[in-house]
Amino acid sequence: MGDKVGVFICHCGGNISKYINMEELTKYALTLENVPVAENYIFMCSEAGQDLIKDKIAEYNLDRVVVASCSPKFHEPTFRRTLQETGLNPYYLAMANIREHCSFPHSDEPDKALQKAKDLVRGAVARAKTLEPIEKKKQIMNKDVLVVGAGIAGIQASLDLADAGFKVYLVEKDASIGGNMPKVLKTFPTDDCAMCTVSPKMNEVAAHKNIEILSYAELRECNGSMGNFEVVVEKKARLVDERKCVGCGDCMAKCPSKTADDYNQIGQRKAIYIPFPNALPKVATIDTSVCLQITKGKCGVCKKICPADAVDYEQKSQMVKLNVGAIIVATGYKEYDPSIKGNYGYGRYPNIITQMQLARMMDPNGPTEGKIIRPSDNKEPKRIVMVQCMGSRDDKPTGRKYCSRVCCMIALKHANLLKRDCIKDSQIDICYMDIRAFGKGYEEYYQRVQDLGVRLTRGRPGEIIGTDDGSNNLIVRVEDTFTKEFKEIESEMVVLSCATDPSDGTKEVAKVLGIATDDGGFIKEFHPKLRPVDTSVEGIFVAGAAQGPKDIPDAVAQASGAAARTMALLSSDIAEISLDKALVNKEECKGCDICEKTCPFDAITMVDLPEGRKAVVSEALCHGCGMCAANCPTGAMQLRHYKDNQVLAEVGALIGSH
Amino acid sequence: MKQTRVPILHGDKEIPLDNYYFFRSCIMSTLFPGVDCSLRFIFEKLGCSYTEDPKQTCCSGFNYHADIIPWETNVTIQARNFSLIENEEKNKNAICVCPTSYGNIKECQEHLDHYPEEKEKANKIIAKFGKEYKGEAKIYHATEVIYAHREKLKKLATYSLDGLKVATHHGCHYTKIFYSDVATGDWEYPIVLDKIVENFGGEGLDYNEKTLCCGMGFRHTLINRDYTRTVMLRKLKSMKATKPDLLLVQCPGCSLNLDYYQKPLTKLAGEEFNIPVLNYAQLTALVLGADPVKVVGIKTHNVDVMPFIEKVQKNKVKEVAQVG
Ligand SMILES: Cc1cc2nc3c(=O)[nH]c(=O)nc-3n(C[C@H](O)[C@H](O)[C@H](O)COP(=O)(O)OP(=O)(O)OC[C@H]3O[C@@H](n4cnc5c(N)ncnc54)[C@H](O)[C@@H]3O)c2cc1C
Repeated sequence: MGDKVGVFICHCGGNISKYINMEELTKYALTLENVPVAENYIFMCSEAGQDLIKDKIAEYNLDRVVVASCSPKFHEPTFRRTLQETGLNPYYLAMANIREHCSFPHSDEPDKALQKAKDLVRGAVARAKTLEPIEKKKQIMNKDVLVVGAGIAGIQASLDLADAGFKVYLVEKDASIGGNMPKVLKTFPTDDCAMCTVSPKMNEVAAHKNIEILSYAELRECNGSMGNFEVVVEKKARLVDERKCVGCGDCMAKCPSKTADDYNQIGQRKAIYIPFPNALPKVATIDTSVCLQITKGKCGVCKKICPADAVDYEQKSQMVKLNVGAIIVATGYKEYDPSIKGNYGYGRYPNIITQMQLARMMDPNGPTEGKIIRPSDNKEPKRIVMVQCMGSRDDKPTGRKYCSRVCCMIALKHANLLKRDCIKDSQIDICYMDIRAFGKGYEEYYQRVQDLGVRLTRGRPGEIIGTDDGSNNLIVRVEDTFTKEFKEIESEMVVLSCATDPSDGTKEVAKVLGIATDDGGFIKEFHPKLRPVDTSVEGIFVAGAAQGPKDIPDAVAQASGAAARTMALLSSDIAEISLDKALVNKEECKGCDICEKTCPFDAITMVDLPEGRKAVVSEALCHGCGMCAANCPTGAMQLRHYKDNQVLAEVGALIGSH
Repeated sequence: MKQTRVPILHGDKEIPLDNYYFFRSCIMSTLFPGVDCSLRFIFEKLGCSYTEDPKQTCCSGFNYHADIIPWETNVTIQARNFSLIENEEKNKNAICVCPTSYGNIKECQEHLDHYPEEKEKANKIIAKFGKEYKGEAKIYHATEVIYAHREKLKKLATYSLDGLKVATHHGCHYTKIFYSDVATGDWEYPIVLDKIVENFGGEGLDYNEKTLCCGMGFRHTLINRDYTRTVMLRKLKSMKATKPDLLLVQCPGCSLNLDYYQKPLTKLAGEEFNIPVLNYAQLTALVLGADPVKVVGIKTHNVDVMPFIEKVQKNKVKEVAQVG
């Protein structure tokens, strides 16, 4: 039990002191029992502030410390380090959040804010006295890295790490690595060829001695913690031997079964396929849902024709176990499904397509060999309307509230390419809410597109309908919010700039790894400003569009950032894992298994011991979230840094007398 | 109580399969009495218990949307209607025939439940004749109920709609006010009527102006005739392009507009439409073998429905039970 608690109050450069009287608060803290010293300072997190804490610890022989400042999310680690440097256990620290919980929301009521700040400090002091030391477990750091998702972000992160000498396992769900970037043909703002930029990187990854690619593979399990993750990756059965296949494509030419082309999102592909000419690894894959040999038991054409004898209908998927020290999630995004909004007609009218479908049409190696054609009659459209914010910036229940960031530039890029290269005499209309040309060189691009005669109408279309004349043309109904006029723009083809959704794989991986996601389902960063590539779990980082909509430059920058953070972590030979986790008091545990069911990380197992059925917590899996402790009916389950008596001491002091 | 779940925007909602309080509609009961008869016919075929309450008053939704009566009056009228529903012994599930009643009384209910002081005010007034609204009424639209019973109704069907093309038109007050509650999901492109048609083997048509207003617009039909007629014309023209055998509607206002004004519009349009109009309950009753005149009530329709009925009657799936 602590009996000398020092209280350190931070001004936060005015964020707190402008609204709460610091002197009054300090004086008050000194009136509390067992508080021999209280100080306030302009920036407690600065070096001078930390030195002040250290000096007072020595001077007063303090055994517990309260810092009243911002949210513990920001500086708890800072102050724990301060304590540790003086030889105190870092868990002897309690924080009172007098910024987010006090000065910010109560900025208009300074008197009440002061009163609340006093209460919060009193509560923190009461808790501090009850805090117990918590040790750290030391383990040898595993220096290998798992990168999940081989889009441009995953590729960049892998190369950075591998160049620095780390061994990387790069796991990709699809038949080929590359992600979305190879599909987009040209990249704004320079209009350089996407494939020419990404393809060398793909080859570099494949050739790198430190990188092992596991393609057509998915993450199934993850145990352990920072420094020592044990993961299980399923290498799905391609039904083609990767080592034998030479990628000649003879099988594709002869395969009799077709299905919708999920890579190009238009047209069809064969049941045995190589998704695109530059695919890597360039080997065929059999789609078991449509392969006649698999579904009907008769065909076998590909096996007969294969010159390398690579087809193997009996091939089974394999579970591969890997041990790694850190993980980078780069599982990317997908286009929002516009058929969710029936009034835009996608899926009902053949000549409404998405920007990605248009990008695939523009590709000379794509399904239409670079010809822009209307799906209804294969004719070249001369009048094209693009609809921005399809599903994004939309607070209706079917929409996405956030901005997808890239679609303004995508539409401008496609308008530019259409007018300059594909259909020079075309009329392009873009209906938009705002044009967000935020990046370097983007505004200039926007200007150039306007000079080409692309028409921009400010307004979000209400609906898209067909014409009655059998032409399969479309009418876009929109209010021009500059002129306040209703417009009906007739067009031969409509292109929807869809919102960005997290890829299905992003959601799956978040579940397997137990990392937090945001409202949209993207991976949540630990701190939006200061720790943008860390996730809620130590040792797991995020890069690229898996964290939120972004363009290639940002995805690549973030990937290098994630690689750098990973290297910083792995530069130490020892992984220190703090044990502020759940703990079972075996005597009180009745073996009811409520905790086992509530644990979101499967960290608790029920074990039959000689003294009865008891809960056992795995230190490696426990995140210290406290769900089990909150639900335990007997109080046997305790969180080591938030034990019942510690929480109750704080609550008691909070509601006790002033 | 028996119930089933139907999909809505987020997940699904529960629809009771029995014990209905038949919340009638002013326009429907006066202009298209066949709809009431059809619903009775359907409920009896399904063996459902229902109440027809002579004390229920018009919800006054039209007046409210046409700016004729104030909101407070509207809310108080509903408090009284709800108290009647609550006093029912078991038939406590209000089934609105009309989308405007549905939207209006649901809105009133939300208002009363959300503002206790308003509820108190309304209750003070209706207490004068011994009534009280407690806040228990449950409100559904009859289309949802028919949709919920679809499997059983299909088994009971005498005729099928095989080979028949039906253009549908959904009521705005069903789809736009409580949009998260629209059966089958998308309120911007509602298809619950099409699902009813498909259930009986027919084809729901996808015509271009499917989501366009019928051209009534409440106060606009009173003060802005030319505009409302142009909207209606656009609607009918687009529908006609897909050659429907029938126009299936959900709302009394739309029925009135799209049925009564087809002929007067011929001159303005320079073409004839001749698209027979039925309501979802009438179509269902017809498929179940109800008498076209005595039950479905086609004599009160303006566009002749007989040609459509003849097509239906060619598609017999079962011996017609004698009903009168
Ligand atoms: C039509 C269109 C045009 C565009 N044009 C441009 C442009 O010109 N310039 C620009 O800067 N940006 C452009 N973008 C944006 C660009 O596509 C993205 O910024 C970029 O692709 C993001 O890369 P990423 O690696 O983060 O994600 P992705 O490219 O989505 O890659 C993610 C990878 O992870 C894999 N994966 C997913 N889940 C799992 C899992 N569970 N396990 C294993 N692997 C998994 C996926 O299969 C994929 O290979 C465009 C986007 C669109 C839609």
